[in-house]
Amino acid sequence: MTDRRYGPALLRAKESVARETWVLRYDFEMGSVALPGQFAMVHPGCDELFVLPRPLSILDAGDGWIDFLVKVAGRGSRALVEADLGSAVRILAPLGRGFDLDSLACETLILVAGGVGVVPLHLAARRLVERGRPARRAIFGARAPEDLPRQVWSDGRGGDWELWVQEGAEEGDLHPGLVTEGLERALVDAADATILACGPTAMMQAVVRIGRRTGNRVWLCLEEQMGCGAGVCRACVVDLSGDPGQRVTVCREGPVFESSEIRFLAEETPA
Amino acid sequence: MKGVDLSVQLGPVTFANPIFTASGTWGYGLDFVDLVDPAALGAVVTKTLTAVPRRGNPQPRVRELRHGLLNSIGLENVGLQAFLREKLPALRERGVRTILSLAARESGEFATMVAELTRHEGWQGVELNLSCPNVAEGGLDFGRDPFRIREIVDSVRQVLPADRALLVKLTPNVTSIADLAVAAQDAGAHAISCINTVVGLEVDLETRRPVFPRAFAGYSGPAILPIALAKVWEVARAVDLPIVGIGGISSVEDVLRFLVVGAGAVQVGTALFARPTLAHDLVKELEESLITRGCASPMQMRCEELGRS
Repeated sequence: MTDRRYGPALLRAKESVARETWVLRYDFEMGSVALPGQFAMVHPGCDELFVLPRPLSILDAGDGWIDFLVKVAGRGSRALVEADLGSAVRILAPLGRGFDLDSLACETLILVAGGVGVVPLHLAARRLVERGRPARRAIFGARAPEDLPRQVWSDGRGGDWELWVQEGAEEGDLHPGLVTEGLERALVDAADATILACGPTAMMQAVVRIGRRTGNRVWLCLEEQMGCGAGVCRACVVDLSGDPGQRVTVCREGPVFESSEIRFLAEETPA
Repeated sequence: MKGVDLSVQLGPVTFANPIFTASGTWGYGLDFVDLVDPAALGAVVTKTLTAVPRRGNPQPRVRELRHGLLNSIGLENVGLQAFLREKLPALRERGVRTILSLAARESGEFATMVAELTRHEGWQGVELNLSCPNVAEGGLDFGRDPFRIREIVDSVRQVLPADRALLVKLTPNVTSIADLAVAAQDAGAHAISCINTVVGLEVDLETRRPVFPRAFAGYSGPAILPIALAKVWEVARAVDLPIVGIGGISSVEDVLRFLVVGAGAVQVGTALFARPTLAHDLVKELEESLITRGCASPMQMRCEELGRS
């Protein structure tokens, strides 16, 4: 069980890293090391305007600090990135079940990320490098070059990332197209790989279809609208496979699941 | 200045302070024990329990608006038996003052559930959820009819042990909430919990449909505070029972507002999602606020116009 902490946290640094996308660093001490995929509930601090805290996947954390990658998607994320340095939010973290690297690190891994779904996988990539068991391939896709938060991995501590964009791939190191094309190619050299994926639902569904066709196991980090982050409000439920199939929360039993555990992914008819 | 007596009496049961958690917003009282001690609250009101487990409604289940929250959870819960087996012993061991929120499919089922409860220790009362707007078989039908309320409360009182409290939670979605409160009082309720969520609806402009499959949802949060204050005021003028004020509390000033309009205790709900330790903070802040105002008890905040409860 991870040791959650809850309390105020001051915004220490912020950096624009891509279109409408920021890395935010807060002063915050968690009680335990965050696993990739674990998240925080971050309340922007103005209770008059925000009824709910926002779930943010943990990009990285260390001694007294925690980093998030925030892409502006609504008024809550807008408030977070526009806040002044030194202003306070409230954080509850770490939350949820992350990727179990103790067992996954023994396998050949391919990481597939779309958009801000890169957050848990970048943390996974770094932890794998630290263990001396880097992922076989790490693939990241975004709409356009200006959506790539390159600073996030510029220090190289997460290993090399293969970058895919749907438009504007003329720049040297970019591949044109979808991450699923990158995944198909990667599987040619690593037929036994386990796939870790996080991104938009359509991307994750496509990854699951590929994994089912090729017989590769897929672990996903799901996203769902949350109220509390602690399993009590029952907003973020998802049905497990089976009949009738247990109904669990993404925030507490997840957000990381093996794809066959989740009914809507396991039962989807192959495209 | 002498100390403040925060205790509150609901029927035969005394609670150490008037700050409770509202049903559906703090689980079964055991989900934040790593951060705060649930036994420090006046009481924990559980997520609403039904005789058999409920899976609740499909997604989407919540939508945050600017000053409130719409929910359509649909009473998802583990069921009474699983609660009694897996949750109640832990609550009892921790000394948590527990009020079980109960909902039923038909009016006779409330008494059946309470009869089952009498075989267990570790709870101080029940709160009849007569007013959830989010289920098809709907508590709302019970909850809008004074005759049915009288019938249900009477049947529960017949099986309820003499040392347990009976709270009746009313819907604000009626013309006269006072009529409902009077019915509950006549049938032997010990307290009125007021209010449940306000029926609301949100629209998806792209699909041109309501956001929630059931269209209607329950609105809670700061937006409903003035509605709740009006309903508590209305009930306070109609009955002599203690009132447990619920609706949009997010600060100690909000708690004081409820005390002024006639509440003897309050429940904190939606704001717990943003601040899971808020109810605990409010216990401390309420004591300080009452001292500052020269009040020896919460009752002394009550508006003179209402008379003594």
